[in-house]
Amino acid sequence: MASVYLDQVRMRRESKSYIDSLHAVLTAAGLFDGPKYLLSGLTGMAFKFTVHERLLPLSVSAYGNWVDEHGAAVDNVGLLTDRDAVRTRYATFRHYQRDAIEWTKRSLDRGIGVIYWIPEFGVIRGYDDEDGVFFVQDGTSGEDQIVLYDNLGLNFTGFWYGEAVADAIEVPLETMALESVRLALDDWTTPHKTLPNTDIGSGRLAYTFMTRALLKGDYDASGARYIIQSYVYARNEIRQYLNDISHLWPELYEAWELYAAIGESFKGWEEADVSALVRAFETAAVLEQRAMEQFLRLSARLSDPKRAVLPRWGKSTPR
Amino acid sequence: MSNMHRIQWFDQSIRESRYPNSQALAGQFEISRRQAQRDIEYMENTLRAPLLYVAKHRGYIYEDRTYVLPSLYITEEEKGVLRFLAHRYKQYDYDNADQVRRVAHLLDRFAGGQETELDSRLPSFQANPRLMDHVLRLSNAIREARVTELRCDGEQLAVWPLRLFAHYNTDYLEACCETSGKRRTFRLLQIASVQVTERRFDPAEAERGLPDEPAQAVRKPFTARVRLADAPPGGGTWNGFAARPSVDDPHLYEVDFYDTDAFLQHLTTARWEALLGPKWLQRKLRERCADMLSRIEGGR
Repeated sequence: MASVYLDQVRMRRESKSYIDSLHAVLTAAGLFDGPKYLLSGLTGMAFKFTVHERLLPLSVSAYGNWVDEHGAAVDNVGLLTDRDAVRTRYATFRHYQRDAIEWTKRSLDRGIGVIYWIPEFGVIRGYDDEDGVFFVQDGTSGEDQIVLYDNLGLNFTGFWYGEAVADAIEVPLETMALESVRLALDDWTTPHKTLPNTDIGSGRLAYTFMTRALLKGDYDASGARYIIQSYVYARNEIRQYLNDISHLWPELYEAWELYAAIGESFKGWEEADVSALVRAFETAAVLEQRAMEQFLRLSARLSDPKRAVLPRWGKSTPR
Repeated sequence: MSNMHRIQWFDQSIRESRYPNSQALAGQFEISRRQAQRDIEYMENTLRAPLLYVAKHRGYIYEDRTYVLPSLYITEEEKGVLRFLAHRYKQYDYDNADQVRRVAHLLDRFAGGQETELDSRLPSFQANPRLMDHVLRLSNAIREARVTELRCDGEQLAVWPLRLFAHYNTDYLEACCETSGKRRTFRLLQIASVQVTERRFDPAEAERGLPDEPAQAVRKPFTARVRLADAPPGGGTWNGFAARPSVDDPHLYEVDFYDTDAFLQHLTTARWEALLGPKWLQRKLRERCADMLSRIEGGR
């Protein structure tokens, strides 16, 4: 009866839960030694901003199809990951689950934690065959959550997601930085990332959804608080990230100034002061638009084979 | 030939003052006089025709010459069509389902309001008479649980019809094959003939033979092994937690729980002798107790 417990995995909820989990897994495995904001920026995850029209708390993690979004994110930082995501109502779910139990244990045996949708994202840091359980860290409570092998993937959201990091390669900083701003542009210009649903806006539209809901007053108060906290934290991450890479191209410095200004407009924000929040978001929308124009200028003057060359099978991968 | 034609001929003869009677009707359509008399009674009683027998002419006239035969008159065959249509529209549940169901209700009234008990769903239907006939006969066979002989793709087999369903505008019959006991699906258009027999089958047995629907994955509870001094007073539960006695040791119980915190809290208040597993639960309890002890010690 085998058991593994990775003591060195320390997850703390600060950024988006996916980045918190990824950072905890990578640092524990010695695959990344930078600060969390750098990982958040380089993966392009910091730029993701989605808002449900009623400001539901799910907005923070509903930034698109995770397989595609996280795929592009980890690809950009040179990580090879193995992920699985499936709706738990499918008849085949139990087969995927059995397989996932095996590869999760294999990854833990190698000393690498597994990113797991609790919800939100957390890290599987250990298992015990005798009890048939996984130990999951959610980043908020000091104690581990216990998940039976049979319950792996089962949660109220109706879908499961697991991702194990297999290996990492070195990617030049310039390449990662350039692609991260291009990913940011994609998020900014795509109005809905969870089609066919159009109740969640992304990028520019997210600001519109946010201000409209705040003005109408018909919104989920705790969701609004969570979205704003996450938003402000992400803008701070972007500011620090751009500060670190601004030496690469002058446009990044310009963008850094704009994100710093966004941070200023949210200083000391209060949930109760709705009109001030609306003003702050309106200002931020204009500033972020200008930052995106800087990114667009940078992206346009450097070659982009990833987007310029259309694969034979079209934009989506063949399935 | 339906009685509608005979009634129309009778009506026409009266209007031409030919004083028709049951003998003439029987002679004209080669039916029995008894049948002819029934037609006349039907006209009088159901269609409210003001018939008057004139003994002098040994035939009928209309007492009220303004009488006309009802313009809507539905034969049994037509009723069958309406019943089929009413059923189909009742099952419709796509766009404007409410309006469609009102149409279904109306059609049902025309058809005499008899429930056909068909079990299918289709937004539109194909007015194929053979298909319609098959649907009606199979639905009767399903309702009465009668063994049915089918000829399909050159195969002759006896089946237990279970349900009719539609998928992408095609009608199917789901049936249990009598010889193999396996569930099979037949396309109605491929069925060449349907023969409903007198033999009946047990619907419950037929359903038992079906493979279970893939069950949704459900959360399983954690199970703790706890030794108790006395049997729990609640019978199968230990203060609300489902508890089963172990086979080897009558004092050892397997207790199911979903919420770890709630169960840990229960362990701190309830009476028990030993917690034998799982290990993670022992550890959590130990940590909580150690934390509590350190706080007690710290307070001194």
